Amino acid sequence: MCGQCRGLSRVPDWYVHVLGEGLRDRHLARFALAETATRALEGMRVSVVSPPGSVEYSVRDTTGRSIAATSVDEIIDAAERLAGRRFDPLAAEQWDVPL
Amino acid sequence: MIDVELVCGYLGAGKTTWLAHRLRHGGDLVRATVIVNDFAAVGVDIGAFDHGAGDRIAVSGGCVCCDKREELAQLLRAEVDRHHRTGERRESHHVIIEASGVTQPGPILELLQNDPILRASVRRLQVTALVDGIEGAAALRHRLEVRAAVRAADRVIVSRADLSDVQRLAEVAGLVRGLAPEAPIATSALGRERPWTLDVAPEPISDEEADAPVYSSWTVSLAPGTRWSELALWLHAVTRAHPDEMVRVKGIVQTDLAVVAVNTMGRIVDVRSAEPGEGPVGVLTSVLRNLAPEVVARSFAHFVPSSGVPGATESASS
Repeated sequence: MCGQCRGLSRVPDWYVHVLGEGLRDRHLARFALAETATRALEGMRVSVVSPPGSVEYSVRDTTGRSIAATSVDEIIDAAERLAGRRFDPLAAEQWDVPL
Repeated sequence: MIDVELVCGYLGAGKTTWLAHRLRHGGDLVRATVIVNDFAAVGVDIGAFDHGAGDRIAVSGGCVCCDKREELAQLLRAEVDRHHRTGERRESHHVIIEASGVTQPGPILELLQNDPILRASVRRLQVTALVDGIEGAAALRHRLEVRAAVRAADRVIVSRADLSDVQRLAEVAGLVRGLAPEAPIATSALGRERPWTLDVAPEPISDEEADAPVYSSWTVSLAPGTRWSELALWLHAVTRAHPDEMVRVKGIVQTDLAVVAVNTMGRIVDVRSAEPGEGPVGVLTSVLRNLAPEVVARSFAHFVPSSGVPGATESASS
């Protein structure tokens, strides 16, 4: 069991393919993805967390609403639903957000 | 004399998988020369053809139907010359051209017909077109370049049959019949072929439905230790937002977690651990449809800062 997340954290399949079953690495991968997604999606005014012990990510907006997600696609989908607009990484307005 | 086999098919149609399987299991092809054309500046597919005793030649940074056509002509003339000099004149030497996913076969066939050396030296020419058994019907309906490959084909392989279903395969087969009534159809799963046995009616398509796309490529060198979370997020986000424009991303990347092989096709993002020697590490290539490489480069540099980009990027267009 991972000492940090205290649970069998689930990661998207593509992480499992890459990392195998090492729980510590899986925890770190989950945490890294949540942190990266929060930075990348800042322009959508959402944050992504990987709660300790949870098998899901939680995507939250500034009003406290949240949607659970288990993959990168679901994280982006949740961010779009909360923000009410599409996330397009090729659109110039996304680049104005400092990373 | 040489026998030339031209393998065509849209991006992600399964050309490399099918051909690699043939080279591994086709005894007569053990000495075949394989010319692998990649539209992007760096060819990442050639590592898939490590079986057999024949030469493997990469032609990268453009299509063999247009800006790389003269390079193809020189390679084929050299094959003729080499085969002639080695005294194996009684046997015909097999040369396979795996065209890029956006190649139009017409100009290559013209080349073989009009070049005096090649016209006199090509004993047999066969065009094989691969069509994706899952997304192939939509591609045939909307993309002129996909139809052109099928129209020119002597035989058609409908790939990924194991991941499709009979209804979709029949739809693809009907459209193929409408474009190439005489061409035998086979299905393939992981490169293994089976003849198409179901009876399907030819389905006509109007060329008016299709658009005239502009393709370009974008290649980027990534620093070792590129953060996988940044790259994964960007790949998923960009293919989700632009599945028809970001048609393909391929490469082997040394991330902070592992060395991974990345392969996207439309919305599908496939990632697995890379095999040693599979291809150049640290290079990501992409094929873009009606999308400017500068826009992609700027976005990548912003969302994947750990990659060290902007660095050396190269692009081509057709």
